[in-house]
Amino acid sequence: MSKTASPAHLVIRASAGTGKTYQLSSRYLRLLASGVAPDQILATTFTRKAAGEIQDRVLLRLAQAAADSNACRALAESIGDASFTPARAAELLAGTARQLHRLRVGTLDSYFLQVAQGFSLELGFPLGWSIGDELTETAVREEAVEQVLARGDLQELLTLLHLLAKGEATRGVSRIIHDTVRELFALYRQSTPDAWRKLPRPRGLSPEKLAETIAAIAAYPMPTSQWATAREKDLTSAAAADWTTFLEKGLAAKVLAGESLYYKKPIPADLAELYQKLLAHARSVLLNQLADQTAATHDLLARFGQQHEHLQSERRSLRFDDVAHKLSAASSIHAPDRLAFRLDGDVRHLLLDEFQDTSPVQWQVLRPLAQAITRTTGGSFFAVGDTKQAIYGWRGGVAEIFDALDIELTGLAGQTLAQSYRSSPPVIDTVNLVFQNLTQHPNLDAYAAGVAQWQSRFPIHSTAKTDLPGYACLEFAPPPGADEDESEVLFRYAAEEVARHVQEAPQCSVGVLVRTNAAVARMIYLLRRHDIPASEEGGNPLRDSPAVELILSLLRLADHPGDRVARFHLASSPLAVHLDLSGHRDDRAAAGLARTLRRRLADEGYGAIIYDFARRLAPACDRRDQSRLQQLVELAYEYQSESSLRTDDFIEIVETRRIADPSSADVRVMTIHQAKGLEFDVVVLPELNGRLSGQPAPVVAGRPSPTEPASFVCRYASAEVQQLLPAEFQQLFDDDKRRSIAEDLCVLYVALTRAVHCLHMIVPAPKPNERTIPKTYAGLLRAALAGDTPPGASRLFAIGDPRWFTRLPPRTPDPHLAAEPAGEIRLAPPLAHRVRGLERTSPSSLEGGRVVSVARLLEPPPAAAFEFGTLIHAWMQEIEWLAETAAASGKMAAGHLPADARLKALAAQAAPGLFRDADLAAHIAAWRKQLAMPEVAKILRRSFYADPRSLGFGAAPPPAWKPAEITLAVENERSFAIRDGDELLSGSIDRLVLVRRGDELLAADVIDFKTDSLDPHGTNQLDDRVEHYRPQIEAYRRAVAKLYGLAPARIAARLVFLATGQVVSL
Amino acid sequence: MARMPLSLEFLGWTDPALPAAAEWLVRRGKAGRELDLGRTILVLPGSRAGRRLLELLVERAEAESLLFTPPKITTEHELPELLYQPKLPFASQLTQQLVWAEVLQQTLPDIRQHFLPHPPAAGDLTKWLQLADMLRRLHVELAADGLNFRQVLEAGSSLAGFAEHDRWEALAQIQAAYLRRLDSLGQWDKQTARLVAIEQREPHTDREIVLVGMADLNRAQRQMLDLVAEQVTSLVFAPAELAERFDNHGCLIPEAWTEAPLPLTDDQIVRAGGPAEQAEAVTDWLAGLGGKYRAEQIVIGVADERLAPHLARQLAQCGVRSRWVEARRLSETPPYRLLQLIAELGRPARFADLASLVRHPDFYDWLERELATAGQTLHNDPLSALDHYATERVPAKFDAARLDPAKLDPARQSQDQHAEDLAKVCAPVGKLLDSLPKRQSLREWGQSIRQVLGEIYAGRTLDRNLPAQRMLLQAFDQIAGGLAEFATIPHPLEPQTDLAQAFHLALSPMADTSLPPPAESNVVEILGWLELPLDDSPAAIVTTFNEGFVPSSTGSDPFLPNRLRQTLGIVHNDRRLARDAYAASLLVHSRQKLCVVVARRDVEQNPLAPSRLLFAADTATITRRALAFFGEAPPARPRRNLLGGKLPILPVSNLPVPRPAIPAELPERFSVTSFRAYLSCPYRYYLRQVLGLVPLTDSFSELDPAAFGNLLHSVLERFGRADDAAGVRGSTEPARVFEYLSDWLTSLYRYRFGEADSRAAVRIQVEQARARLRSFSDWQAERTRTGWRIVHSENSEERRSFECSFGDGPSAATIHGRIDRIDYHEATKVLAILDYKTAESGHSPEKTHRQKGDWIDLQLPLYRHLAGASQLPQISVADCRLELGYVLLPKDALIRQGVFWPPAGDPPAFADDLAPITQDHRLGSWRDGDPGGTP
Ligand code: SF4
Repeated sequence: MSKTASPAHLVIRASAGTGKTYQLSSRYLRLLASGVAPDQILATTFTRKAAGEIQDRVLLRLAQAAADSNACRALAESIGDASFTPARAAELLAGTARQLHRLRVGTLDSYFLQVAQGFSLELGFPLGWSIGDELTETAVREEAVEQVLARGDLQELLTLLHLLAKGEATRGVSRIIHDTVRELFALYRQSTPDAWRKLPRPRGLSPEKLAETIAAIAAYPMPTSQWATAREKDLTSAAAADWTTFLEKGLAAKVLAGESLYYKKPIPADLAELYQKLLAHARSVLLNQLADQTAATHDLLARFGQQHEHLQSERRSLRFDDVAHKLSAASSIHAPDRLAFRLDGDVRHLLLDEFQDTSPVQWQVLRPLAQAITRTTGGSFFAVGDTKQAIYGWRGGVAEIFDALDIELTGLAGQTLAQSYRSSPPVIDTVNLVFQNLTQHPNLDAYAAGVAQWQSRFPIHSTAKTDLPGYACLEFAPPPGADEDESEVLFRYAAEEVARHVQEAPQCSVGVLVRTNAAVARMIYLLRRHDIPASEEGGNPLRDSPAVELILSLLRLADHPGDRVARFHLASSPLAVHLDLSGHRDDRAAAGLARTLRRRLADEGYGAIIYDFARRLAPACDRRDQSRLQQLVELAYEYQSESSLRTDDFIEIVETRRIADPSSADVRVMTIHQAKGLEFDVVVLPELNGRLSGQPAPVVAGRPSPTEPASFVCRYASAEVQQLLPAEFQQLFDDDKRRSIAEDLCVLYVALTRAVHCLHMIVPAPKPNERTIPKTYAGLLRAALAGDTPPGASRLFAIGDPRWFTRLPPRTPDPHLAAEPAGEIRLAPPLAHRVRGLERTSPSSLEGGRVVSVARLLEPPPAAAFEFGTLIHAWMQEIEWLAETAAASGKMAAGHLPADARLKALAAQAAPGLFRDADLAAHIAAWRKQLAMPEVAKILRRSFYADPRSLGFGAAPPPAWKPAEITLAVENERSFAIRDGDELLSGSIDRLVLVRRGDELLAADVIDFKTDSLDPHGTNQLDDRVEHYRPQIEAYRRAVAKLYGLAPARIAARLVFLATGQVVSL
Repeated sequence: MARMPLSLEFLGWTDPALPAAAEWLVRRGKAGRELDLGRTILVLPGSRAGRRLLELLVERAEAESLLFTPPKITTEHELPELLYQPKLPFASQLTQQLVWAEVLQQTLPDIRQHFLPHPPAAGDLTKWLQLADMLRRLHVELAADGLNFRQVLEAGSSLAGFAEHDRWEALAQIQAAYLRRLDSLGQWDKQTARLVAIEQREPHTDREIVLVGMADLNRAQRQMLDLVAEQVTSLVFAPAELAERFDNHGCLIPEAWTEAPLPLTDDQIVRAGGPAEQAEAVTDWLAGLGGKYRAEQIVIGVADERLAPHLARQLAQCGVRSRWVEARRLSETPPYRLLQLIAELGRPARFADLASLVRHPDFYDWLERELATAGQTLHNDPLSALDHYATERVPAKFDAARLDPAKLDPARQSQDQHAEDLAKVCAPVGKLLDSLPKRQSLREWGQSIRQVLGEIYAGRTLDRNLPAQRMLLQAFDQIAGGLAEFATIPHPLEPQTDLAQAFHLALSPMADTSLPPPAESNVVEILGWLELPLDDSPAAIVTTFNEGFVPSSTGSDPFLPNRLRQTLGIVHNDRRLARDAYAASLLVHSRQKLCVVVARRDVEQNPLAPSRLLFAADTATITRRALAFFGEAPPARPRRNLLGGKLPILPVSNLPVPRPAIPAELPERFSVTSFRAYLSCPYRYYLRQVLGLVPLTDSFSELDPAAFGNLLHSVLERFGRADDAAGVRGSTEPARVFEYLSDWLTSLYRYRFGEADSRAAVRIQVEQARARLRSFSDWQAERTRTGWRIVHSENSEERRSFECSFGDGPSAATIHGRIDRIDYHEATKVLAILDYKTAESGHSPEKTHRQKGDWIDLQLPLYRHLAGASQLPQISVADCRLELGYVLLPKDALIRQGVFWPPAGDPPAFADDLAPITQDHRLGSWRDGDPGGTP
């Protein structure tokens, strides 16, 4: 048997298209094949989709190997086991497929979640917590901000906000805090508290000294009028304490820069010295300001953090970030033993995908596990990723961790993959050309260093798909007209080009990759106008359909009948005819409509109502609007279980949730970020014109190592102020710039490497007044690919075969797509009577009739009445007949009634522990008394049944009988179950007396005992109670009729009110 | 003593289970014309199956005209108490929880910290009760298998890597304390009582017990049944040949089922993508049944219950009626929602909560009734009253007591309709809330809550026959039941709580209780996976036949990981697998039509793997299925059109932007400021100014720029009209000016917004306004010093405006506008028309008025005309030179007097409330010549 060894601990740097998933699944399969149990292998990635793909790939490769010997050979090779056979593959497949639940392939988040759930109590998580959705988190944040504002000292808050707002476009009070939190909360948690207070705070001049220095400068004899003017300006700024302007130009700037000449004249030493003093003062003021701002930011974040944590704990709702954060802070739970016990298994093998996107917090959680694995034998560590595709910095990913792995772990072997299994040679050649010639761009200025560094680390790519036909080009879009927008022209041209591609190569998938969601919507729209159905990845909120907007207006009106915009919108729409709304001015109609809508929403639910209106609106809609409406209906049904009393809440979901159009078109439009991990036959890039590195970061931070919390933080400062900072802080700003340009280049790299056959880059035509190449992707591409283009050319660069598509095999029509949706649903006609799922009723539930008042439903249960009733019923069951003799004397023949001991035993059974002995004795006495009441006693005697006329039958009574010829049978607690119309009626009758003559059943008597405490003189009350119980007794009668096949008229029935001794025949 | 085993009856599985059981029972129980099962106890795994079995028995009895005495039908949860005699009342769940909480709080921290290192604060009853509930559940689960916490400790200690000794030791001590405490209260813990009964060999019965399809019993149940074994028959739905896969209780032997092949054929398996596609697959299958079955003969199983709404939707859209037992939960019903809102209402109430409450349909009806009874009429409807109030005052809290419309705003003399309306709306609400005490005992809360409900629903009746009302009736029943539980708590335990806690104790635990919709004919039933095996519909489809659902498996468990479960012999993954493998087998064998849908994504778009049951097959099948399931999915077929029906679909939507009705009732007078609106977008101008469309909403976190500006304007306006005798207006002392302004600001804030009630941000905004006023004071004092005096100041109360007319005939228009302020400089004869600007940007007039050379605003130039037309006392306007300018009150506190005329800036961005009408969000807009319409 030949097995190739593979290093136990391996880190792979895999360029785009080189098969990361393949590598990872190979590794996984290698472990499985060597007999490792699946729950010892933890394989993680970042998206749920990717995790699913990894798992699928592992099983698919096994299945392929089991089914096909060629595939098996390939698999054998990739796992380094030449002896691997299809039979072995089948065996492994069967074993793994039956243990699917033990596979630990998932997102990092889901793994963290699992650990956190196991250690909830130890970590101090709120009990019963779960991962809350975005809206919950938004609500928590808003509340936290409100709390921060409400709780803080007013002056402190004002100062804080003043500092925070400094130098930024101004926003509302809450906005400032929200933005600060959104941008910086993650960093706040990943930093040491003193990191925000490391800026130096130099002392400035005292007011007197300052005035003195200014006076001295003012009095200084200036050599020329230019010098004098410059001094004037400097002093004005100084007087206004506008130190930034002071630094910017003039003499101050020269002295600061250490230059000795000004307007070609030497700067006198004594003047320079005076200026130095002012400069030191300026530095002091500005740095103190910066330090205050930075500290204030930290303060605010800390206040927010406290409120946020508290509120999260109240609502028991956390986000994945919070979970990772808490885990990273709790070292104790990472002891391998404890972890293994709670997680039901020992993770010995770690496989990490997309490692470049790992954040420091995430790594802090994984590190103990990774270190334990790499320190002991028998385990293995594997990470794969590509720092060239690190485009998730904004989500916390720090690609440098990849580079730091060698320090973090011992015994790692490395491997670099640069051979693509995806792209055609022209595409790969273009990628190589671009990224080897980035520095050709003539004026990268501040970005030059970052670009150069990126370029120096770029490995030359090759492709395994050397036969793949392909083409790549860079071209100018037509120049925009006078009133036209540059982007608009680019998009329009791109749409035309896509149309051409679709026509030329209908069998190919096309990816149009842009940078913003707005551009996605725009491109989709333009493509539609070319009759090209395009689908969006990720999608837009549903309100991009006017039909959906109408329904939203309807919901808005439900909550805000005074909203005239909504009223007008509805009144002038096709829905108007279905609404009682004549115009937007009718307040009453609007209030009425709103009320009806809210009532319907509460009773019928969002789904049914929205469907109802969507259906009415549908005839006015085209295909897309119908499809969006349908998605709205789906969302509404889904929403019902979390619905609230505010339609605003649902509207907010509709307005924020992105929902992709479900059509799966061959042309897909998406942002480059969304395209990561995907590939397209043709890639069109129309939005290469944005400037590199947009907004500066609000703060910069430095970590001692990429895996550790930040130990230096500084708020953003202008270039002038930056130069006043100590070197280590200046370094932070430089690093930040490098990082941001690196990420930009990563995005470009991802965009270019999505193409399989054809890469089509469209850049704006140079402006007539263009003097230098712009600092944009377009500029970088132009510089790298088309150095000195002849003016006027529209195609700047092209490589490969422009008619590459002619070499593709023709498309085979997909049978699925041709198929029509299956036909109509037909059901067999229903039976006249239902046979299944009968409504279950009991006679006692019919008490009071079909209509019940809410007030009655809410009546408090009388104390212990239930148990008392049960008790009496249990006792009554013991009675068959009372003795006749007692009738006259009013005394009972003891032999016919149960003894006290028996009654007590029954009580213990019916209501254990509830009655004290003394109480019970009293109850027994009372009960015996009740039985002695004349009317009660009468009906419990045989003699009562001597004459049918005394029983009170209905219209068709049984034939008369003589006492001697009949036999009487008593059935206590006669239980029954019958079908009663479409209901299943079941229950039991307290006492049923059956009258027989021979085999013939002549009549029956239904007796129901009631323990209600009635006022003996209140006839009304008695009548009420009787009416109340009538439906119940009628149900008994129906039951007896059905059970015994007896005509209802032969069934007598009576209510016995034991408390008052009244008997009422019904 | 060798016990007699209970009897097993194998009823096969080619027929559906329950009809087979009914058949067996009839065969056994029939004597002559009688079918007496009165001495029989039937035990079934769920109440639905019990109901169905009874239905089948009744059907049989009626078909054969038998005199039928029904059996006692129960579930395994209620069986034990039929077999032994409890001696003390059982503690209710709530009582148990309170005892656990008490014991937990009293446990020494040293001990407790072994499992609870972060205990809640002492007074935080809610959190302690949550912990208590967690322990209660753990206790119940273990006791069901005859175990206490100490036994877990002992069993765990035998496991390698068990580092939880101290933790379970602590738990064992707490459990012992819990039982002692309950005992002292004279109540019993049900689980423990059962264990004691078993230990004392108490269980006995003279009835016959028949277990129907009880494939998985826990240990306590088995032990109890063993003690009455002679009386017990277990009906097993499987052929006798498979007897070796069942133990002597008729339960599944897990190991025998983990590998048992499931004879599903490939054409019974359908693959689908996400929820919508699963729903589509179900409709396809239904269509494929071709009218052979009635609705009630078809059942749709949901292994993932979250799919049910999607199915209900799809079926509704296809015109098929469906019934999902779990469709409605108590928490969604109006009375529950009402109570929840009232319970969570703080004192004073948060405005947002109040706004929700008034939107509750029943509460709203009550409110209208109350208003009518009190003879109160409003200017607007109650909701608009709230919205207007919110718009003006940005409230966070809401205190009805403070709301005296007479005292609302000293700056405003005229009637304040909105405040009046609100006061009227709030009077009954306040009264209702005031009737609730702050804290009282739970028993008393029960009464108070009943009263509140009684008040709101006074006079309301419900008809059992109407489905919607029936659900409501059930809801009230549930709530009343929950409240009744309060009366069972032993006095020593009963805490004094506030309403929110009372609500959480009584009603929150029932939130997820489902209220089954009434049975209806001609309805396709949607059933949970667990109910499915014992259902007997001939045609069934199972959705989400995926790993994690069939079988389900637990992730990590803070107390009982799978390995520990296995050691303890309590429900673990293999048992779950066995249960589901058996259930699936039963389905496969007993249905005429069966289909399983395997999804690729769940409702949250998480990827799903197929159920591992599908891989309990021969190698070739496994490989074939793996290739299909894990390979690329075939392209989805287009979905049916569920909205448009059969109507042809329009090529382009006919949803035009509504065109202005021309001739519109054009205003004859234009305000100066409206020109900006007109110039930036005539259509919006039409909507806003001509039609008067304004949105109305109530969610504000702080003053918007306009409201902030109004605040400053109000203060400055006061200043401009300040009594000159006081010498403030003409003062050259900044401090004096500022004091005046600041005082006004404070009163306005107090009355208009309410210091205590407004959103927290407002309090800060007011201070920011104050800072601006300070700078203004400096500027103003200086200006007065240099000879300027104020000759006019806007008076919003009088609404005096300046006017001038243009043109004549039909196109004549009057322009009117208010001028914030006019200053006059005697020495130079200059009149300065000043406009206060509070925008943060502080753009110059030029930037505000012209853009790329086009006029975008005409305010200041028009002022020129207005001023020309104005009458100022003792000043001859015609003789003066006019100066126009802004007084900027920007946030950086640097007051600069604006630069003068003229013009460029950003194009107007229309992310406004009119966007729905103008359809700005649609992909591409009608401006591109889309025939959708254009104004
Ligand atoms: S085109 Fe747009 S901006 Fe112009 S009037 Fe119409 S809605 Fe307003």
